[in-house]
Amino acid sequence: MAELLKEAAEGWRELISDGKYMVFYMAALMYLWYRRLQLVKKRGEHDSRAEMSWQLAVYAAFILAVAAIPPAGMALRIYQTRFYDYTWVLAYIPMTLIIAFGTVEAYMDCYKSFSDRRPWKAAGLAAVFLAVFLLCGNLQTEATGDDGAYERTSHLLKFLEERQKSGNADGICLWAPADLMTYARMQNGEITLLYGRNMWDEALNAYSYDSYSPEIEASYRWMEDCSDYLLGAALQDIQETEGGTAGETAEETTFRETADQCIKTALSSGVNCMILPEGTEREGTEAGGTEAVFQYVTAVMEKAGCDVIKEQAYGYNIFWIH
Amino acid sequence: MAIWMLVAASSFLLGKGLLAVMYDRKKGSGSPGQPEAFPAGICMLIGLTETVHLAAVFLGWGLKEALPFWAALVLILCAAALFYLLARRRAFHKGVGKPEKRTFTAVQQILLACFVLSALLQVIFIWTRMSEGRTGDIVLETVRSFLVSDRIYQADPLTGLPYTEGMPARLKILCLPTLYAFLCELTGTDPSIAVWGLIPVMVLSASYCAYYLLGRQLFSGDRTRLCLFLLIVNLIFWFGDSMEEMDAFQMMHVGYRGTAVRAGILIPYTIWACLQRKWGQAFLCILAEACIVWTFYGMGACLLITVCMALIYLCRPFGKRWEERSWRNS
Repeated sequence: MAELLKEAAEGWRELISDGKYMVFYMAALMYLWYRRLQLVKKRGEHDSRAEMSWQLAVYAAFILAVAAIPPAGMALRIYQTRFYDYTWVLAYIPMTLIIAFGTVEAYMDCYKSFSDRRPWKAAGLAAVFLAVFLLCGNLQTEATGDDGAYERTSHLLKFLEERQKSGNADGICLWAPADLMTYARMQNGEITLLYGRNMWDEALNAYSYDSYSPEIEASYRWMEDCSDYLLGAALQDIQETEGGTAGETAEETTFRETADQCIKTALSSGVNCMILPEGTEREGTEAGGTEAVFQYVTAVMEKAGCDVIKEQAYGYNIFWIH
Repeated sequence: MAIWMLVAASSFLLGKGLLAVMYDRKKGSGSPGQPEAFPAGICMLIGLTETVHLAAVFLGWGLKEALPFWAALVLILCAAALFYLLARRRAFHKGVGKPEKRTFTAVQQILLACFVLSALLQVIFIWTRMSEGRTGDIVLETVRSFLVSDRIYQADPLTGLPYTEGMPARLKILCLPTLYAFLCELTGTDPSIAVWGLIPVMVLSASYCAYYLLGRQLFSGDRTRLCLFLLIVNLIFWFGDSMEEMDAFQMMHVGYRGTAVRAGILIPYTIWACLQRKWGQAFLCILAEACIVWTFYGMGACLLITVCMALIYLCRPFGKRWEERSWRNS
């Protein structure tokens, strides 16, 4: 209960901090209510249009109240299944409709209140409304955030497909860093993966009852550590830490200890294509050189009885395993 | 592209036919409007797909086995709708008189031109973003998985490997990936183009139809207000995408998701239907939502909106009494 309440409060905070359209929604709603009260005061005619506007305004106010009050919002969240976050209660709030409706009514009422209705006045008023409108929102936030990974994956997959067609592989079962695995099956449905992106995007686990074995999870962690290591992310640690055999850092020792097990797990799961970044050569550590990593990986695979063909393409090392 | 236009036309025809049958019961109500038919047609297309999808899931049909049934069902119903509409054409137009001549003032023309131009820019925007990856859902992978494995929900879309434990039954009945896979198989379109490019454009168009209906109703034929309303809806779609849950985000970035269909088409259409007291069409939206979005045992946003609007409608006498009291006091 307390957790749900906390989620509701956090969701509401998120709702009003990203963009100001919720404020705009409330302003539009208040204006629609104000118009209705004016109509009541003037004993205005209740035509069908006024009735519909009123019904809509009542619904919009009611659903806003339900969503805004944490216990009610919590009930709404349970109603929409707890799979969705609290912010999804927005789905019940007709925000686009009310903002557009309220803005049109406010604009037309303002314009009609002018004694002298000239085109430049209408344009000036429209500019004011537009400015408020744009300041409340934001133009097309970065929705994907793929950082060019989709395109990189695309090039690499085309290369893999060509190789597959030329007979180097039957069907590709891929094991690669997360940024490649994320987009691999979006681009080629024939490729199978050692693990999917639900490994690091936990929300996606809701789509399936399947879970990964600890060995597969360890393979994922090793692959990410190995990629980071090759790309030089842990360079500072490597230079500062000492351990293992002569010239070998503690990180490298750990790498060697876990690599055997993870590669064996991948091979037993049917992986026939492993990809690692080309990496950057390090200074000051002989054993930590990227080539040493590749040689070690190849050696482990060959020790397991596999033939390995290594290729380089688009900044990656591709290990074809037969 | 021509086949996709045909798909859009068939959903329009289905909607038109369905509404004609519903309207025909109420004598003298005239022919259903054109914009009304498109969202209704999409609901019907979802319903037809759901029927075939459920049959395929529970009878173990492959995608290619289920496709002829789906295509035949759509074709037969389209033909029936066409036949019915042609047969009832005279009856619909009887007593309606000549359609009013549509003339637009200069202001209305400018507003309309701005709206059309901006909407076209949105279509281009959606197309240009097709080459960018999207995370947060598994629709494209699911469609590819259906097409490659020729099985519906048999393989994990994220790995391509068969399920070991399976998937939630509530998700298994969602038919949107099946519909997209049918369309891709039928048209030979690449799933990424269909799912990230063509479907969002169709959803956006249907959304504008739904908002047009609402605007027409709320402004009682005042075309200046209606054009302004559509333009503002268009601007909200451009500028209001601060969060994933906003309608704007759904329309502009992930228009292929079930939640986008709900936000852009079903909810505005349900509100319009409730305001018009066309409960049958609201019910259609409730069913469509249950088929495409993970809802609480089938009860989703459309049902809640319908119930709330019905209650508000029933409570009108109390409101009127309150207003009369206000008059007396003032």
